[in-house]
Amino acid sequence: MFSKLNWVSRFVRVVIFSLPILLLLLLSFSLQWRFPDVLPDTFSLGNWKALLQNQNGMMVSFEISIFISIIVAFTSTALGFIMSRMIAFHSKKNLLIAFAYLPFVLSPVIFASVLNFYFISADLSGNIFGVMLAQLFITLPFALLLFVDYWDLKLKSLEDLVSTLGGNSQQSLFKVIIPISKNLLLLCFFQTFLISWFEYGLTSVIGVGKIQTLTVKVFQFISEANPYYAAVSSCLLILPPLFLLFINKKYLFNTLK
Amino acid sequence: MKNRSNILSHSFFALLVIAPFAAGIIYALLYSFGFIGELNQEFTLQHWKNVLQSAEIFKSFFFSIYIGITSLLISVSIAFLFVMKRKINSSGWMSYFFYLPLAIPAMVAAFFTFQFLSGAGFLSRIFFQLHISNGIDDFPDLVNDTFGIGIIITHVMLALPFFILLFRNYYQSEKLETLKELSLTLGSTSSQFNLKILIPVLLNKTFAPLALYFIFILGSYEIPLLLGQQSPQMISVLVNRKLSRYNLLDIPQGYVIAILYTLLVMLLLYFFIKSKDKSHVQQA
Repeated sequence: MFSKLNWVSRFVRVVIFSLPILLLLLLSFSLQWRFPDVLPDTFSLGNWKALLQNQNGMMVSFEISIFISIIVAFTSTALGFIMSRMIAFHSKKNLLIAFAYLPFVLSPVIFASVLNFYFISADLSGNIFGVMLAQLFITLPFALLLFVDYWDLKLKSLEDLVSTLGGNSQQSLFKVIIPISKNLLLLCFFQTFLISWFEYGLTSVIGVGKIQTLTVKVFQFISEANPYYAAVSSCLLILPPLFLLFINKKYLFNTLK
Repeated sequence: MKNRSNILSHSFFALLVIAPFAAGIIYALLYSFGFIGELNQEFTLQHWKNVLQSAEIFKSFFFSIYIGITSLLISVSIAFLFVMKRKINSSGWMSYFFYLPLAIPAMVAAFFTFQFLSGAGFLSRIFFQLHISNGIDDFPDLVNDTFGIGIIITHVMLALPFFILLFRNYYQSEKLETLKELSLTLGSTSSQFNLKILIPVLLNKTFAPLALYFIFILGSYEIPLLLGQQSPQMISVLVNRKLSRYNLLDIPQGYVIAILYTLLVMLLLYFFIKSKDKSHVQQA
């Protein structure tokens, strides 16, 4: 009896936690879903076919989002790793950390709004490089905060050991420090990828609607009252994080200490 | 070589972290005091006076703080219940489902809430079929409503798995299970253990991420944009609305609100960093 109840309670919890994805999938496979029907009138692959045929530019948005997120994640991870070493051993470490927190915790849309003038002046508004640079302003501080506590005396001793044994700084970085830090580097890459992938406010302000990432596309479909295409785009948005969840749960859950 | 890398790191830090923030604030300050801008001609405090006397702006700040505190209180309380009842498996296929909401971006979560809780949404359809409601108009306003119910529910949905996993991690790292057995052996009840040990220990250990999460909710944009109403609006939505309006007189006010919001975040961040330092000292 208890075991049966346990299974029912488990099933209920599974349904509750996966409800958003189930409803989005249902919407994405329907062509018409009128009130008060609990299920759609017809199920169809039409919306997904439209995606593959790049109707409404959904596939292009997917590719733009992937491109932006990969570049932003790679740049912020690489720069963050190198720069965090400087912060970790700096005499004013706490002050630098406080500075790093500011752009990261500010509302991205407000941050973008006060920076918009400079982006327009530099001809970076409505431009993919402008969007990537703006996103870097929030992903880089995140990478710095993630890496800063990683640099400790043990790691510094390793660098000193390489130097004592005749290795130079480049050898120490590429042959010792990066190989032993690859797990954290991967974690940072995926986390910054997701920040960029999920980003809407900043992208819509700096991209002025011209850079149509998937989040911008979802909003556009919602504004056009097209919930079916919005659901397909939403499913695409969820795909990379689900993939990360599948390969390693910790890529999705991380708290800055 | 190391010196060169240090100089480069300093330069990049100044250029990519400090400069954008400083430049944004300076521009907003200059605009709000009338030094720059289309309709501005000379130094003026008028825009600040207009904002500080505006009920709409105060309502917006209070509404944002109310959404932040309520969402946090509800998600933390439910997460505590989960941890107390230990209804989470740290491993196995079940645990994957707890992570699912973490894979959902704010925009998609807001879209889901709209499709689920609006008058023509999924829940309303079920209520209609069960004869609990008489149709779209009879269903209560759960989105775009006065109390921000839809916004709060969406924030709770996104925050809940995060807090459950966070508390579970600390439950294990602080060996609270052993402490529970010890306290029960010494004659205390389960609720005494929860109230006097579990909740204080977990709150103390997770104060920093909780404070950070509150700051994030305060500045959230996509969720109130889709699920909020015209007035009061959350700060991010209000600032963006003021700055993207055709009425040029609204723009300086938008910058004043942006500065006030930044000051509030800096104040919260100050307490957050202080509490982090305190917990580091305690750990040491």
